[in-house]
Formats: sequence, structure tokens, C-alpha cells
Amino acid sequence: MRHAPTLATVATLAALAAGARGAAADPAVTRLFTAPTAWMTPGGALTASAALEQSVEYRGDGAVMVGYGLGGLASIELGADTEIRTCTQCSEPANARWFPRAAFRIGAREDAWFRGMPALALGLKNTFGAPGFGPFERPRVTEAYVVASRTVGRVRMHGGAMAIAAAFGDLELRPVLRPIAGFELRPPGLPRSTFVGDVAWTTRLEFEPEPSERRGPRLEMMVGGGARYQFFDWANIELGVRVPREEGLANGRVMVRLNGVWELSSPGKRRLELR
Amino acid sequence: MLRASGILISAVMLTGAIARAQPAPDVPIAPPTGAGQPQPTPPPAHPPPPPPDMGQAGHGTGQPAGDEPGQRTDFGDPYAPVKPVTEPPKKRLRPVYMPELLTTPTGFLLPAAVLYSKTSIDTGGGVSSDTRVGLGDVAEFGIATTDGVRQRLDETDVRATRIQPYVTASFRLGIQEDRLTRGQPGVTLGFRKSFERNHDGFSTRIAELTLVASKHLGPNAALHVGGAFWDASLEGDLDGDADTAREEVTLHGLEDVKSQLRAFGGIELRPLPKSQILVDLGWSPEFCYRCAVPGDKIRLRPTLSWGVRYEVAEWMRLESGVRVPDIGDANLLDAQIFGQISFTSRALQRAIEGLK
Repeated sequence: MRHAPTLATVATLAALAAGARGAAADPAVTRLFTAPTAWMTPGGALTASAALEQSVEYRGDGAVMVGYGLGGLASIELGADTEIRTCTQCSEPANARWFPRAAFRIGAREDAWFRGMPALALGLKNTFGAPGFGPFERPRVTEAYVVASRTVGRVRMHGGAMAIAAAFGDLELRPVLRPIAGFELRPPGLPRSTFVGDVAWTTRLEFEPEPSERRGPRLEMMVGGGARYQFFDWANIELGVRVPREEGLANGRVMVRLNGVWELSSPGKRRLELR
Repeated sequence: MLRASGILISAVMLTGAIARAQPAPDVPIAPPTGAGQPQPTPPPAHPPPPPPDMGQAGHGTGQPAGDEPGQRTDFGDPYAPVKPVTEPPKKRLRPVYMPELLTTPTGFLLPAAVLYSKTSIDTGGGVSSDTRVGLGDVAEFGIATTDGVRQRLDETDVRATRIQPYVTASFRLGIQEDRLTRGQPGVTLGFRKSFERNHDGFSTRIAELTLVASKHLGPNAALHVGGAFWDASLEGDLDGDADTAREEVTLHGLEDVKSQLRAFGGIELRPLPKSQILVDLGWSPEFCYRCAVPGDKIRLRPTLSWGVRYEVAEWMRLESGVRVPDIGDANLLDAQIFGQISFTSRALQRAIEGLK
């Protein structure tokens, strides 16, 4: 039973490998507003995204990520974001902190194993080299997920599960499983526009003064919704609102994000379309 | 009309006189003997190909024909067809199979004189490198730095940190796949030993003897299975009492062979022509300097890795994936995302082939 995660991982990887051959091209956006998708970055392609977020309370939140597609099977991303929040007065909105992040994902594309099969991805995203501050010594967060994505007509649906573990100092949150879901909808007559919505979970690092018991990492549901507009074949812009459940709609964050993808291995040979 | 005939006759006579003045083709031109003699014609930029059977002209004496007095030089038939210059067929080079999966050794050896280099970084701050050379298709020698060895202070220290760089030397010998019999897996016997590492007042060493078999299952899959016999030593102030002498604990000193033996292995799959999925399970030593139980001072911890190898070029590969240093505790927080780049070079191999 102790080795069940190991066996499950190996079995999933073997299954992904079995189905990766002969796959069709997938869109290159690997996440919705918060939730990851199962779309894979094309092999040899460089992806980049930059996001800015603003709420009533805070400014300057965001994310910068750069990724590279490895052979059409996997991708790696490096960057930093403010997904992880910290608070010492946790009845108020939490503070945004920039954390260096790295992500690796491996997957199989739509219809790879059988007709009608959704795209699948197994991924891991973690913090690295994050400096401690105040009571938050050695903060660390790791998210492992399995997600499936499938195109049905004008809608692309996404669903999966995410295990999140977090720690700072001596306080630790053992891996907790949470569902993730989302959709993308292309309205008729607007081929370059997409409505996007998702539900996912982010981490709050809480450390209130005694005698409060709000100490340690907690998970927080994040609901996002907005639109995406593709202004070039290789680039799009997203505009949306993300609402953390703890803080309510009044503290929703407006987000603007730019995504781009470039073929590096054979420039000009294959035109990439970012959808 | 008469004038034209005169010109024609003059031209023929002049041409005949010039032709007669030329030596016969097989008569050598005498060298100039002094001033006023005509200068010899400079040699052509591209000398004509040697006539066939020149070696027989001197009747095996080593002297060219015609060197003896009164004998005419034989230049052979200048109109004989020239033999085409054909290069000997190039020897087919063995493919290079990687000597390591992600963290564990494989049963494949580097071909003779092939150089291999790998550099790796990960999100845990680990940096490692590995340099090897293939020896005669039957062995391999390498120097590496590993970031797999970890340390803790005592039982209360729940977070093990890495000791790095940890320099090791390795030697492996073995038999290629299908060399002895058809279907025989590649087998290697390897030995890896570290130099002594002094860290925080403690001295540690590790050594590992491995036997691993690797077998291709079709063109797109390979399986690796092996066993390792570990040893390690820890020396220092292990009880925390400054008055007592330094003592040493070794893994073999525990007199429990089972604590030294471990099985490891992995699989590689090639679903796309230039991309492979790799999964392996290996072991790494962990030192606990002041753990009270002797068996806890040196322990072997399982490491699970999975990732992708992407062949950017024949000589360059990018690898990336996830490594969980202690999968036994299912500690997701310690999972590391790594990236590594490996190069193989046949330059030395080609140079040696050229000398042959």
C-alpha cells in the first residue's frame, strides 16, 4: 500500500507512452486562469506568458512563465508567480508574494489511444529557492495533478485532480487531493474569441499570533472567468476575474495575461497556432 | 587560286617540319647541358596518374626501367584506362545507448572511445555532472559529482539536505547485448566509489557495486533490472560528546547484508522517434550523524524518477523530469524538477579509426 503512489505513477507514465504516437496537434495553452489543462506544448516550441493582476487591495500581482516543449511528449516551465498567498491577519485579504516556480508535465494528446479519448497530462509544479520572510521560513509548495481535456463541438472541457502539499518552518500540510475543472467555449461567429472559466485550488500560508489556531498552510478555492482573444496565430491575450473563496467577490482580482508560442527547432517550417 | 595553293603547301611543310623535330613518345628528353640550351618544360600542375604495373618495370630491383645503360625507359601505356580510386567501405559504428537512465545505471556500455558528458540541475539546488569514456567496447571509466547523498543531524531533523558536490569515480565492464548469444541482454558489472567527503566535522564515503541487465524489447522499449551492493562509512563525533574520541560507523559493520543489498531498475519507452519516456527507481545513501540507533546512521533511501529524453541532435540530448528523493515517505514536498543535457562525441573514436 505504501508503494501505491509509485505504481500508479509508473502505470500512468506507461499508459501515456503507449498512446503518444500518431497524435494530432493540440493547442499550446497549458492552463486556464488557474487550473492546468492537458494540452501539450509542441516539441521544440518555446512558450511564454506574462500576467498582471490587480484587486482593490493589491497591485502588482502576476506571473511570468517561460516553457519549452520536449519532443511532443512533455514540457518544462520556469518562472515566478503570486499564486501562493501569505497572511498574518488572516481575516483580511492575504498578501501576494512572488515565488519562483518550476513545472514539468508529460502527456498524451487527444485521440491518441482510441477515438474519442481525451488529452491527458500528468504534471508537477513546485516552488524552488523561495526565500523565507517573517514567520514564513523555508516556504515550499508542490502541486501534482492529473487532468483530462476533450473538445466537444465548440466547447473544450477540462477535469482532473490535484494533490497539494505545502510547508513553512515546522508547519506542514500533507498532500491533500482536490478536484479541478474548467471549460473553454468558442461562440459562433467569433472564431478568435473564447470564453474561459475554471475552478482550482491555491495555497495560503497562514501565521496568526497566538492564541489563534490559524497557523500553517491551507488550501483555498479559486474561481475564475473571462475571455481570450487571439490577435495573432501565435499569441493571444486573456482578460478575466479570479475570485478567492475566502475573500469573496469584493476582493476579486482582475487579470490580464499575454501568451505566446514560437517554434524554435524549425523556424518557419511549421506554423504554430495558439488557441 | 594559285596563291591559296601556295599557302596550303607552305602550311603543310611547316607543320611537317615541326612534327619531325619532336621526339618519339617513348624517348626521354635529354636534360639541358648548359647555357643556350632550351629550358625544360615545367611539370604540369596535376601530374598524370601513374601507369599501371609500374612496380614491375624495374624487375623487382627497385630501379625504374631504363636506368641501366643502353636500356630504354618504359613509361607504360599512357592510354591505358586508369583504375578508379575507391575508398574502403566505412565500418558501421555501433549506436550509442545511454549508460544511465535517469539516476540508475543501465546494462549498456559506451562504445569504444566514445566520450559522454552529462550536466544536471534541479529545483532543489542540486548540480551534478558525469563524464565517461568507453574503453574497447567492454568497459567504461568515469568521473562524476553526485547530489544524491543526503544528511540529517539527528532523529528530530526531518528534512534531509544534500551533501554536494560528492565526487565519485566509476568503472564498469560488461558484455554488449546479443554479443554472446542471440537474445542475450546487455550486462554490466560496475563499481562506483567516492572520494572522502568532509562536511560539518564529519567524514563520509560511499561505494556501490552494481550488476545490471538491460534488454531491448523491440525497437521502442528497453527494460533495465539490477542489483546493488552498497557500503558507506561515517566518521566523526557521533554521540555529540566533545570529550569522546571520533568514531566510525560503516554499513558493512552493521553485519546485516540485507541492509546493503538493493534492487533497482527502470524502463525506457520511445513513443516518438526522437523522444523517450524514462522511469527508474534507485537508491541513495542518507547519513544521520547523531541518530541514536546505529542502523539509522546510514540508510539507503529509494529515489523515484520519471521524465523525458529528447534527442535534439545525434550528439546532444535534453532530459527533464521529476525526481522524488525519498519516495518511501511519499514526501511530495521534496520532489524536484530537473533538467539535464548530455553530449556524446565520436571524435576520439574517429581519430582512432583513422589511425588504423
